[in-house]
Amino acid sequence: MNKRILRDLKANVIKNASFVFMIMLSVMVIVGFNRSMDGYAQTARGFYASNNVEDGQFSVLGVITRSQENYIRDELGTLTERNDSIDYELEENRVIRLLRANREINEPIVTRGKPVSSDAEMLIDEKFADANGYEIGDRVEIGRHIYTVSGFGISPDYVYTIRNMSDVLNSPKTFGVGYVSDYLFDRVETEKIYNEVNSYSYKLAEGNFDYLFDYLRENFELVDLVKVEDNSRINTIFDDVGGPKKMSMVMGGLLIFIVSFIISISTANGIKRESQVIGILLAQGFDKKELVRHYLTLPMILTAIGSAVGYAAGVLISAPLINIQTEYNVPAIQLKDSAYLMLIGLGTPLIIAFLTANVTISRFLNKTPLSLLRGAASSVTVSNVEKRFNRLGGPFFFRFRVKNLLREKSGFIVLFSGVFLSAVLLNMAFYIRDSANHYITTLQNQLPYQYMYILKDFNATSDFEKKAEKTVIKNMKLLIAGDEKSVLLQGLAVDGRYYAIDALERLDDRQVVISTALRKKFGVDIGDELALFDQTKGEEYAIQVADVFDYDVGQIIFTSYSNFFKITENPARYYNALLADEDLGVNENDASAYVDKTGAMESIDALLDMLRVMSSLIISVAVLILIIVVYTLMQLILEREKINISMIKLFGYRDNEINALYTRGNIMNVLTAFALSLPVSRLAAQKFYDGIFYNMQQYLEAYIEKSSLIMSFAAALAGYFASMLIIKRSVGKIPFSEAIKNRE
Amino acid sequence: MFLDVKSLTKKYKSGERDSLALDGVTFSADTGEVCVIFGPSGSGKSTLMNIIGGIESATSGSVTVDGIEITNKSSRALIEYRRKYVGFVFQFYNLIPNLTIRENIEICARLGDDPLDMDVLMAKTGVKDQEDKFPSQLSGGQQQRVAIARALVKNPKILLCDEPTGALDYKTSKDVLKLFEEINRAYRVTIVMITHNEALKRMATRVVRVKDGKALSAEVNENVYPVDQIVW
Ligand SMILES: Nc1ncnc2c1ncn2[C@@H]1O[C@H](COP(=O)(O)OP(=O)(O)OP(=O)(O)O)[C@@H](O)[C@H]1O
Ligand SMILES: [Mg+2]
Repeated sequence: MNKRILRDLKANVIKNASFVFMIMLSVMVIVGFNRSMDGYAQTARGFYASNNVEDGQFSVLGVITRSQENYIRDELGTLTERNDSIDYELEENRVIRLLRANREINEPIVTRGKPVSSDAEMLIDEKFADANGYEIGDRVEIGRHIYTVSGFGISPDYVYTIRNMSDVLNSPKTFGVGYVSDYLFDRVETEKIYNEVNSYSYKLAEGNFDYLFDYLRENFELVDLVKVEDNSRINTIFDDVGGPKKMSMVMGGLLIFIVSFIISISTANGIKRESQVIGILLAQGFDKKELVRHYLTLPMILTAIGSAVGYAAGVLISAPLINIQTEYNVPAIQLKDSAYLMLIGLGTPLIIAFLTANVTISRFLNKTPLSLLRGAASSVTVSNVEKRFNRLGGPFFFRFRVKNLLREKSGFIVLFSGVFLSAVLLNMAFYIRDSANHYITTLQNQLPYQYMYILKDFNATSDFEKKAEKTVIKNMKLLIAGDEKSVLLQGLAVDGRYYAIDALERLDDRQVVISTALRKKFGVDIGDELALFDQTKGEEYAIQVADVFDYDVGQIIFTSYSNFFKITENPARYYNALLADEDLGVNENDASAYVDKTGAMESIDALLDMLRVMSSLIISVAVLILIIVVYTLMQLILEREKINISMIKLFGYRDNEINALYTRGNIMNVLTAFALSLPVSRLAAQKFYDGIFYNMQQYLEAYIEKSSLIMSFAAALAGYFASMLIIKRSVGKIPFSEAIKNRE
Repeated sequence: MFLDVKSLTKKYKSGERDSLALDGVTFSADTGEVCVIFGPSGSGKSTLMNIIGGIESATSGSVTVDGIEITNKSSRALIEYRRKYVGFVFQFYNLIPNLTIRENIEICARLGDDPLDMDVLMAKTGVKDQEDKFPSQLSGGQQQRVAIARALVKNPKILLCDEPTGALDYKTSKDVLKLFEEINRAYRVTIVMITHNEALKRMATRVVRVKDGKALSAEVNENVYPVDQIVW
């Protein structure tokens, strides 16, 4: 028996090799992506733990005194620390933000070189250094000071080094952080770090957030509060690694299923061919279990080889795959093997292969020895569907094709799933690229201003009144189905020039206008009664959606300036933000957030380059899967129909006619799978972006260009026809001896 | 002559040694003849027939059918030859299991330039009542009738039958042979039939004896018996 297995392995080298290859591919994708992304997340998590990442940060009007700080620490068990930072403009519109190297919360780590050991030394973030060509030992002039770069490093609160917490994308060329000694803050620039509104990080040691929150509310006016899980600089990294992880799991898992089914169809073919031998063995009282074991061996061996090689390959590619995350400043990534990945990578394929093959084999062996003895031909039963179909009539060749499809139901379904999976991948690749492209265009069209500033000092908005429109913006949580979603509440002047929202004039006290992005992302609509949660006050406000405004790039709830204060139950009116067409020259340190439309679009452009590479990669993998699935399945179907094909060949049918009869009907299959994949890939792409933007107020709508649809379709067809071309040769090779062979 | 086989040889390479399946076979037959080939097992009968049918190549010698020499043709040309000229009937019927009886015949009807009327043919071969059944629902004799109808429907010039009654009992065999007789008469199709049954030489117009790849004799039977009167 073992010799036979070896012979089987050798006899169908190409077929078996493609099974192994597909299993390998699926396991490699799962293991590769998960191992690298896990390593990424674990490294970040370890770094956060060892370097005392904050539990959150808040801003208050005024300053927390030394004694208040001591009270919070000793009585409330919570550490607080001022977030001192000074932004300096360098030439070429670049900004470097200097932070204290010496900190208790969010301690910087040195990734290369040495820590800061004198007042003239600086630790600098590596992405910024790379983008701008700074090396260790370089002297950099910042403001009136000259610093020597002692090393590269980063603190947990700037792992995603974005200028404003609300920024979607980083831009290492134009913004970076550096860490210097306390001298700068305590001796040189003291006036710059004490503002009207001051920001603090906190670390709950034995403390409890509620105690801290109550204390702050009693003693200060809380302006802003961002818990660590909402902090995009700290947490985006985890959302970002989740996408590839999930995608690889779903895609790899589906592929394993498809391959397992293909393998079990192939096993079934083999059993059918040997049905007479099996019948004799069973009739002689041979143990059924032993036969099952025999027929299981080959699929299990193939799967075991595939998953072992796949695991190894996954481990191998996990190191370079780290580079798909280019945005973050993290210490060197440590890749570790994990039990769950071994289980998934090595165990799941075997289990799935075992189950699918077992079902196929047992179903077959449960037939009586007699019916097995009569052989494959006599065991053919005609399904009711087929019988009914026979009565329908219609052109013969059409009926013949449909009959073949019906007869090969399982093969048909697997082929469909395979084409469907690769079509989803294919379309997703285009969706991912086009969506980002589309986002730029939408941003270009819909972002009504060139510059937006949120000022730390509320009263300062008046200084720019002439060149800008004043507005009020506040971070809020929208409560939906027990979930808190980050949104912006923005109060606009009714006759403002930036947003043309007609409904503003007609709003009742608690009514608002939501952006189309909000409607699309959370499914809220006109008439809905919603609740906003203000984290800084710990209060909920009721609102009602009166209208929707065409704005696809951000989760914004618009309302009139007066309504803003009615909704937030705040009697004291103020402005905190400015919208403008030109650069207002606001000092970097006076703004808590800053948007420059051109800059924002440039950084998305950089992201697009990466997405383009990624989507070409996905496209090639998708086409490869399509070719392999179509090829192996058609090969299996041909193998099963070998005798019949040999027969009609003998009658004088030409090879291309035979192809038309047995394989060409599958084009319908491909077309249907492709059509059905469109909505699914749209959904998948949307989920992909929603995952990445989970913690952000931005929204990116899944979008595909018509030309991309055509290209995707062309790629699918090309893959299909490529495998058909190979199949055609197999049809030509079927010998006549198949037909003349005695069938006893 | 309609069928001319001249010094036909066929060598099979099996491992180190060549085996000579056909060793200079020569015989011929006229249009509309029934030519029966006898010989012990392994003597080369099927090989001979497969070469005539254009599904096997000859090593040397020639076969001419209706003036066309087929032994030097490309495989592409041989497809066209089989399509127009040849009908096959085998011992084990070899019908396509997932096609109905009618469809099994229909699939070959599309090959001929001038196919026979399917319904007439089905009536003649006695399978009209079974046309919507599937092969597995028919007895061996019935299946062989379908196979004959299938071979005949494209209106071939030559019908090649390799032990067509080998798997059938006496009575059924006789029915099938009568069918051949009728068909031969009705359509003037030349029939070449391999059989182990010595008695059948009496229904043939020509009898070829093969042994060890050689045609021992090829004689014309002047005294053809109707199948009805042959017993064995
Ligand atoms: N494909 C092949 N390869 C090698 N040898 C073959 C092949 N086909 C037939 N032979 C050999 O050629 C010789 C003739 O075979 P053939 O099948 O023509 O005999 P036959 O007269 O039809 O026998 P039977 O009455 O048993 O059907 C045999 O010795 C056989 O072993
Ligand atoms: Mg034979």
